[in-house]
Amino acid sequence: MIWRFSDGTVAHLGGEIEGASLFAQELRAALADPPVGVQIYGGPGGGAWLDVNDAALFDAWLSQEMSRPFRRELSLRMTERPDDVPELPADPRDFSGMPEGALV
Amino acid sequence: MALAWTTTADVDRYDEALEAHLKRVRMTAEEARALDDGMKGDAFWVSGGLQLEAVQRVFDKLTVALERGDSFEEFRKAVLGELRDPAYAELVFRNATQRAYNAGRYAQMTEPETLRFRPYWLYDAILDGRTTVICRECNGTLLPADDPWWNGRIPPLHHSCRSSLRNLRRSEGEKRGVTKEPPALLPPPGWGALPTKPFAWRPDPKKYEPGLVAELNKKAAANENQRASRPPAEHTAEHWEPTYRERYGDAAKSLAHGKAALERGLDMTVEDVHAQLNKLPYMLGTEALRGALKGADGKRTLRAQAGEVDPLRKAAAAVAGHLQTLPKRPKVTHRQLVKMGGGKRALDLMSAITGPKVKHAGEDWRFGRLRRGGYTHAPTKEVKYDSAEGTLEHELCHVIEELNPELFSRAIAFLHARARGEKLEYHGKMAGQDVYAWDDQFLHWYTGRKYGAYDEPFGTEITSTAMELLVAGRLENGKLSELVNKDPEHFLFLLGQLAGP
Repeated sequence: MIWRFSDGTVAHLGGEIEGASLFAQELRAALADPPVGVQIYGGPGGGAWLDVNDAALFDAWLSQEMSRPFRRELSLRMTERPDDVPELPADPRDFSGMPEGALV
Repeated sequence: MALAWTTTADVDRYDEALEAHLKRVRMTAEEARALDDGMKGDAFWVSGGLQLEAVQRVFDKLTVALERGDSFEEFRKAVLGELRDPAYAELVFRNATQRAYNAGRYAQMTEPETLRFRPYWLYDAILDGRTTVICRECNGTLLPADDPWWNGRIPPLHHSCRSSLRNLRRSEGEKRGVTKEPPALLPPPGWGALPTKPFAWRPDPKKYEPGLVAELNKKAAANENQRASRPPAEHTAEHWEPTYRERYGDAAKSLAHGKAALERGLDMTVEDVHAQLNKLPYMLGTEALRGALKGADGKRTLRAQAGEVDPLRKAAAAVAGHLQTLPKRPKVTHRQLVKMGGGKRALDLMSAITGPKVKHAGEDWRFGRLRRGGYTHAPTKEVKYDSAEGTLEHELCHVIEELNPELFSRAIAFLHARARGEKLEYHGKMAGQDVYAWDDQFLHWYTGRKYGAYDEPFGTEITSTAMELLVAGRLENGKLSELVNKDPEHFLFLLGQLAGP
């Protein structure tokens, strides 16, 4: 599975990142310093550690990194995304007993 | 005449100009004449037969002028004993301040983050009857920052040069278009060299007499140890509050505390920084900060070792500076700890890292565990949290915002300052309450949330998310190193929140 970006970066499921752009370099640097976090639902316990072989998490991580505010000037776009990216896992937290007006 | 720049809200710009000035090695004019042109930029000397002691006195008075933003007239009066000719004194003043300013700008413009967003440089001269031929020719030259043309043409290019460089965003640079044929003129020898990195200055032993090399090495080494500590005023929040007031409004107090803590920490020896960080032994985030200090000389201050260059070292200094002057608060009782179930972590948070006026969850609050995640419900005084590092402290910061209206209003002010007057966007409901957010100005989108009715909010994630990273160092939601690197003001703000009203 392959993800392509407007700056020429190509990401492969499994964690291989091709490209000489700054974005590509920073993705490689992040993967070289595990564990890498993916913020999915926000708040304590709402994220996951990246598994580069998990297409849903890898896709979410690439999207997260592409859209970071400090990369906005790079005007990055995902130009190719695999069709068969699975859904992200449901929020692992159980808030069924959480009272109305609580803060997470 | 006022200095060529004034102290602005961009306080780091001023720091870097001063830093560039301080790294210049003081020497006699005779020694300076022996140097090649490339090295002269990092040397400071004064003509007129002044001995080294007098050169040093002039240098120190320039340092004071730069730190205080003194006018030339004030400087002239201060150096009457050393520089009797007012015209020459003005030349020394203008050259030194302009060189410091431009070197500071250069240091800023060559930071990787800045280069990424502003990759084009523009030569900007003041055009009037005093403009020299070279500055008039170079004016308007626009080239990529890494173009070799800049090597040898970093202003000042001559005595009393008023030119500077501007860095442009990629879009602006491309719109204006790069200069096809930049002028070939070069400045006189000794001018225009690329400023070197701090403390890189060393004479080449192959080029100079051994006696001179030994003397200059001694001076360069002494220079490294003589980074001036900041005046006591800069160690206080009162000094910095006006700097942040315009942009951050009511949040300025917390930011000013954080900035003052940073300045204090940079003036502490590395050993003292360690001693302060050791007050928080159970916080994994402080492990990351301690790790950043590896290799630093324990007997010297971080400032003397250019500690302000490394974001994690800066963060270590800021935390140490915060802890150093924090008045002691009463220890948490054993009963409270049992009720909280937070053990050492809660003790650290409540007893060591917050100021005495910060109100915390008392014994009337109920603490319980969750398998994953956490929440705070103020109406029933209930906190639930999982065993992950940082979750309890994240929730306790919600409690702090609940129980300390002043700190809550600062968090709201910080959030709205980041939105720059734009209305926050509606993000639906959570636990039956409206959620508004401005998620585009923070390390992670979750930080930009506020809860409750738009004009009557009751919670934010500003204090909680930064605290969580300080405690844990690394989470699924981010890394402390990212926070201090990409959003250092948010980190300084956290320290101010912990210091309290």
